[in-house]
Amino acid sequence: MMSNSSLATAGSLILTSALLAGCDSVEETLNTSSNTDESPSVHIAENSSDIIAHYADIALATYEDALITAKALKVASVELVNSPSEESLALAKAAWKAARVPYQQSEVFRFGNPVVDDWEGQLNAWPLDEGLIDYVQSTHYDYEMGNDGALANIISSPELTVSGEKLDLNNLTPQLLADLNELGGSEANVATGYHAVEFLLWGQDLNGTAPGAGNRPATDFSQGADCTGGNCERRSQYLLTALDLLISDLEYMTQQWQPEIKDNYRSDLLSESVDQGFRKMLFGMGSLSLGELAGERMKVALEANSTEDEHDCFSDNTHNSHFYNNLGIRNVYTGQYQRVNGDVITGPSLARLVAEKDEEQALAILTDFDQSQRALQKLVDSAEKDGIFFDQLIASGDDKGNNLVKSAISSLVAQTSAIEEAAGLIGIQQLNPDTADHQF
Amino acid sequence: MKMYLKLIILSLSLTGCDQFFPEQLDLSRSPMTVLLEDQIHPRYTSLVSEASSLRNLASEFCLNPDNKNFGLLQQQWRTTMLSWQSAEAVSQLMLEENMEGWRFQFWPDKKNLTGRKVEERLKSKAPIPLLSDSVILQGLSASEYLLFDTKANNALALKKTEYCQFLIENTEALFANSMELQQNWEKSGSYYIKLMAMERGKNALGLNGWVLNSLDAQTSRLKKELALPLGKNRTNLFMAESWRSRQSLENIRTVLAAFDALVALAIEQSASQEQAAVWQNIVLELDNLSLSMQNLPYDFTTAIKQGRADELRSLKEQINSLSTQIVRTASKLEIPLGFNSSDGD
Repeated sequence: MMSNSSLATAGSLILTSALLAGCDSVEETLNTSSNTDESPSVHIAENSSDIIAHYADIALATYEDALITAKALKVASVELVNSPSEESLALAKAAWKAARVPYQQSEVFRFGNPVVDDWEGQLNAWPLDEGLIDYVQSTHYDYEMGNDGALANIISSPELTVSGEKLDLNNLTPQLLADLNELGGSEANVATGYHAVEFLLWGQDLNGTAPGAGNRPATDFSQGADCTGGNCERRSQYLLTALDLLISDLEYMTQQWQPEIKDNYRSDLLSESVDQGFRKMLFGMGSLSLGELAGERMKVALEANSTEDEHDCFSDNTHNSHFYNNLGIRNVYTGQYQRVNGDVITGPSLARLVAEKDEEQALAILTDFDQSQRALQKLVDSAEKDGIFFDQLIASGDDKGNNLVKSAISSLVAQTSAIEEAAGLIGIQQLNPDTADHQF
Repeated sequence: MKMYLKLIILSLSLTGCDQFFPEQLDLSRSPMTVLLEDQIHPRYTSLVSEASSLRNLASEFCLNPDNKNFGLLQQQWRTTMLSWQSAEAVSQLMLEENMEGWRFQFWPDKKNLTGRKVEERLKSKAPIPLLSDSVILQGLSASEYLLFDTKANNALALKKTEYCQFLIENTEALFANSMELQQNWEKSGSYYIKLMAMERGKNALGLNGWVLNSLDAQTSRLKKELALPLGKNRTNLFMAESWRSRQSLENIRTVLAAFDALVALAIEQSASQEQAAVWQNIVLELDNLSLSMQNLPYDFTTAIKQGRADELRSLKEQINSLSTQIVRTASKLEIPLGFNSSDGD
């Protein structure tokens, strides 16, 4: 089990932590005998249901952190809107990046838990046709075929007609923005969530696979004659409204995982069989590791050399988003989570349960987790130390960059096999949870 | 094939004869060898053959670009795509690890990356070798753009040499990639070696495991193929597979035919009457799907124009139902279903 000091070197939860983060060694994770007085207490799964309760505890802590950092982002954004300057814009951007740290770790709860999967689109849908929200440079804008709302520009439009439907957009409210998601039936019409806010802070990335992120000037939020890009007041209003919605959405999700509340999702989860709980945990880990992270978020972008398919395409923060997605997978497996205030949560885990079944195999499985973390760390190092970001690594003909991404993908594929193996060791043959009619 | 499956199930319930299957089995071959020799190898032989014909026709057309040759070329593209669909359906498990399928078909392509990448390459003064370039440019999706998109069609009709040059490069790359996959399945090939090593290991899939996991992975894809163009509140035909060549539904038919063949093989190779009977619900689902597909046209666009969106939605539900039966059958046979690349989309 990790001690506080080793966790400190494993990474603080501010954004730059990924630079410093190392992998917790296999032995540290599985060793139950090397604790010091300062280390968190060790929990061994006396009862399998404790593992699922602890999983819910980690979900709660992760969503609480996402809420805390979203509120900090709102404070920084209010400052930007009230006093637009390059400094206040930079602080708002830093707050956005910090908010992504816990949220990306929370995505492992999305698959397997319908309450999260039904909810998350409003917060993290991507890729988006940003011309729905604000001005774009048309020569650098490729949008979904057949999307009638791709050039709607809500910020400049007090009313809008899409697919024959006339909409009054005068008063930008959280509900209105939420209703504009998937406008005209297109999933690329994303009006809310982290990526909408990202676009409002950074603007379009016009650099393709060359260096550089979006470069929206702070004056896009200025009032009066200093305003650039037009409609600055409405842009500011949009930003703060989108953040209000983000905060209320995160408040809802924290409620779903609270132990004190009856009839919430947590109580449903804990009332299910242990097998079903394990299945949800494992399905979340495997689906994020393979289909979503290795596939949709990395392989598509790499094989197509497509910056349109880059996850954080406006801010070029993709390396961190991928790193923390993977850390979330590890959190669930090891039952450990470091909160944004530095506190560490530990408890009964699948990793310990697997080790009780087969110590040797458990070590091999954790080695695969370590390797994926190292491989994703290399993407972080490339960006933060060498200044070569994910959208540059996927450029056509860049063998070195491409191979770095390929290695990360391969490590996630291996990690997924390890998750399947762990499932087998604890007797979970069927990985797809029975979630009524919900299709993940 | 459907009648054949039905007869097997029927004979099980009527005869109760334990000797039914052994009489039909070639005991000199293991079930996995039968899978390789009877299902996988023939499909890759066909793919290579069709890709070779496509390559030859592309060269002929570019030497003599007339309408007749163009029609033949379009038809050959359709056949090659169906051949790929069939090969992929029985071997997806091995292709999935490196997402090899994208070298043949890039879908979904929401933002027309295929068209844009082809046009970008055509403008390049010194393009890198195609096999080193994006996989999007190497496969059937790029040649579909050249052969069926109006803009590219016009360019080919105007005998623009760069379009023809790229068509030749693309079809050559497709042939080379098809050959590579075929060789991977030969006795010294990487897939064959990997499969055999897996079968000797403690996590051996076995024939039932292969069939069920293949069905599971491909069914996830079929769900997506139906869900994306049907959308939530409207249809978007650009999201259909092979929308340019308008054979999206024919692709699905081909995949379902491959499912039939895999299930028939699993039943034939079953160790007992009881084990064979476990497949009955999947057979019934496939049968229903076959009936539903029977009168549908080749593609989504025509089906929508004919006002048959409800039939397509019903097809989607039937695919969901098949998916449920795959999971239940796996559970009965105690076969683990692994993660697949469509999980989490």
